[in-house]
Amino acid sequence: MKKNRLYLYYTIFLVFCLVGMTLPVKAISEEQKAGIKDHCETIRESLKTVQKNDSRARVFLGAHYETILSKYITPLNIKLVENSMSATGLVENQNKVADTKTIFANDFISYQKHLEELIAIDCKNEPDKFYEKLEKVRQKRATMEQDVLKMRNLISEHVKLVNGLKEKM
Amino acid sequence: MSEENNEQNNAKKERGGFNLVLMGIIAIIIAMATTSVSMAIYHNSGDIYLDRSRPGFLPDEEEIDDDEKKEDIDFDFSKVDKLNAETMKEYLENINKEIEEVDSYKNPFSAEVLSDENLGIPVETGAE
Repeated sequence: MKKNRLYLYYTIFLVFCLVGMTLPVKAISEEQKAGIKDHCETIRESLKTVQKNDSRARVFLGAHYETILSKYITPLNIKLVENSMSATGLVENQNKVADTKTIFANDFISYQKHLEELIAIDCKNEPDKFYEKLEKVRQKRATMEQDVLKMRNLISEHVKLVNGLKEKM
Repeated sequence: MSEENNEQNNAKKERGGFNLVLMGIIAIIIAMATTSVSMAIYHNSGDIYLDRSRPGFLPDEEEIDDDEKKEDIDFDFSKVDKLNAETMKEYLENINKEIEEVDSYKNPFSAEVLSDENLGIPVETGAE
């Protein structure tokens, strides 16, 4: 009986997942379509500015992440090993920072590819396609924001661990 | 005899000219092919998106000035000294300066930038 109920829940869950995957992206209103058509060029120019600013943000943050990892976190861990001090948490944190840095760069490439495709869409004649792609770009941008947040938390965690180590000295 | 020689010389010159043109064309074709392959690799690998030296993405003058004004934070662990509370304090002071720099970039990749409102797309009121 319990098994049957489990199967039922599992089936309902699967149906919900399938429906979720096949549902089309929410349709845009006629007013929005008209807005996109009318302001097509302005929107594209705004997107180009966003693209340039994001490129700047990537270089700025990427350079600082690299400095923090290669000039601070890694040398500290090496120094700790040289001084025969235990640094398990710090080494784990270093690996996470390095992984997140790579993910940050890869996600940026994926985000920029989608943004470039969005800018290339003829929004005057294909406002639906344009908006659909815009939603996808927004998702990619949200991933970037999450990456930045994750990296910031990892750096804070590192500082917290180092503070703890300092207290013990 | 000399007339025949002249004719032969002229034929050689013509052939030489043709070969030169042919070599030029082949060189152009090879250059175009290798450039296309390089560009395809540059684009497909995603390096193009990480490169700020491409046209339209170069830093503004203002940005360069800002970068020049920033003082470099140079920190290195001494190879001789052992780790102690003092070196850790110095380490933390320097890494915190670097973190402050990271935090100075306000809201990178915020969702707001691509909102309908910011892009000039009429915002859906909900009632359709």
